[in-house]
Amino acid sequence: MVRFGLPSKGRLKKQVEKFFSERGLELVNIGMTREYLAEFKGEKKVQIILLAASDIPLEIKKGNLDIGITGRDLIFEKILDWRKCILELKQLDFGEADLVIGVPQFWIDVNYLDDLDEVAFFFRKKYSRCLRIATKYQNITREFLIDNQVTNFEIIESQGATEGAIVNGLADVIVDISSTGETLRQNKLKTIEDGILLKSFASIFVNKTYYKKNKNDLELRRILDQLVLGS
Amino acid sequence: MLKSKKGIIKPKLDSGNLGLEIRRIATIFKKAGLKEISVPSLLNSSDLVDLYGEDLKLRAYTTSDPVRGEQILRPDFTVPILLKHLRGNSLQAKYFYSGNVWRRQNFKSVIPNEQYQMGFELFDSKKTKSISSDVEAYLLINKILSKYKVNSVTGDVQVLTSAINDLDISDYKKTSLKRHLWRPKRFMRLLDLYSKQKICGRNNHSSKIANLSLWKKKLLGMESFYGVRTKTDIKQRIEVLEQELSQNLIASSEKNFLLKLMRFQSSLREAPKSMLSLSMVGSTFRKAIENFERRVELLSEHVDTKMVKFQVIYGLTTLEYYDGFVFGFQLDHGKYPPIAQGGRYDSLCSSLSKKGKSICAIGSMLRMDFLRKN
Repeated sequence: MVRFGLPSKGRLKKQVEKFFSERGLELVNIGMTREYLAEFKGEKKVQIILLAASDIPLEIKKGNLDIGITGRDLIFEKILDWRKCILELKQLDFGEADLVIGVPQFWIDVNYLDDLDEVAFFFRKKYSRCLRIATKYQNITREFLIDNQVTNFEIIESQGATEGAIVNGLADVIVDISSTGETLRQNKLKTIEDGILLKSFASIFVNKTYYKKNKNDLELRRILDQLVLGS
Repeated sequence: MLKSKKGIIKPKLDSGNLGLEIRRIATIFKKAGLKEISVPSLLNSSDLVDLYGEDLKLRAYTTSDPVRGEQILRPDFTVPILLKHLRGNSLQAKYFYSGNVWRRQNFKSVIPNEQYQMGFELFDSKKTKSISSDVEAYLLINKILSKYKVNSVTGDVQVLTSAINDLDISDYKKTSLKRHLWRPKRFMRLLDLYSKQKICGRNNHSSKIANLSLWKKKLLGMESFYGVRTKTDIKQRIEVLEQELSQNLIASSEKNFLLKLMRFQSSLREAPKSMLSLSMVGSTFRKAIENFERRVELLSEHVDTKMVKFQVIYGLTTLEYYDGFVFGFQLDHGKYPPIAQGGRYDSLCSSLSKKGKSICAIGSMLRMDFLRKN
């Protein structure tokens, strides 16, 4: 039995379903209470487990899932050394989104990281505090800004509705996922030129230990070829 | 080697040897008149993040506590000792410490994430005593390590900052250059931005100058403002940039001098003379070198300074918060990190101490985990 983790809701779930139906595979629920367990119609060797996209990385790492589909942004954020324990089997052509820095539109003088750094220093001088950055992606943000030698910033944890953090006075700047930039614009935010932290999309990931052990298993090969690679 | 179930190899604990070294070094410290000081292992996160910024969280372990708020496992001794010292009444003090520090390490690092450090901090209220305590600090470490085969390297950030102070540019430019001395990428970009002749054609700011007046106009038309940064703040920054990016730029001879200085290295003995022979030497720089020379002379009474390396920018990127004389000791063999590092951190002291209290300090730490491997 291959344990296959898929996102349980949202746009990513719909895109995953479309991806499978294009390959002639239909997901059917088998759970008693709510639909968190499923299988492919006619395929008894695969157990589908539906869970939050953001929980998939850690469950693959722990080995509770053998394979999973989720966004690369979540893999990068949740597991810093993911390449050690997880293999990216196939990059998919959906779930595209950029992780970007959003600043207020009226910060007309802030267009590059250089500017952001100088403004952060200004916050320290004038308000005796760091520039506050709200984000769900704390690890990626911290690493990106430090790599780019931006200083005097502080990360504020935000579990959703991040775009609102600035208007609400919780933060000065945000880092969030944006696919079209529409949400940013609606919230009167803009991106900065060199402020793309990550270009993300969905991928099929597999637990490395599991894969090494079973890669010559004919059953797994058949499933991977059929389900994953679509041939 | 002990192999745990998951196959993680744990280093063999050589606690007997470590204990002997700790006692030997503590005796040296006590004989030198240092007093042992202890600080807690769990520190309040917000105090430290304010000080270091988010960089800290990349290196230190944070713990969660719904009652007391986020706590940090002590990433070094210097800052907690400085804070403790500042809470007391005395200005002058000599402390030594001994204990674990915890730091996240990257995958390749040989430094254990829990490492045993010993070290000292020397505080004084008089700046005039700096040179003698610099020498005292270096000699203490030198004495402790005399039974090992080590090389030492020294550096001096003061040399660089004094050269920047001598430049014929505004305080704004000097401040931003000095602020980024520790970050070579950003420093070089700023140096280029403030120079008459640009090396890098696609410097972000060069197109900016043309945009500045356009921005000011656009800003007037903007309506929705929120957050702490005001319209006036933005207007002022644009005006500062307008002035700074067009006037009072760094001449190429000055820039070349700075670049040459940053690359400078020699033996400590030769360093003062060679640095003075560089072109463009200004008065602040000359004074800094005179100080430097006095330190070398004093040090030469005790050690052969021809054998001590000197690099102007030694430790600039790794020895955070040091702003004067710095030094490091490296084992002769093996790819280990420096087993001892230290330096002067006067500006950290003045930024943390209350008004009217002036304190200077130099300190050093020893990585005990590598010492006992010998």
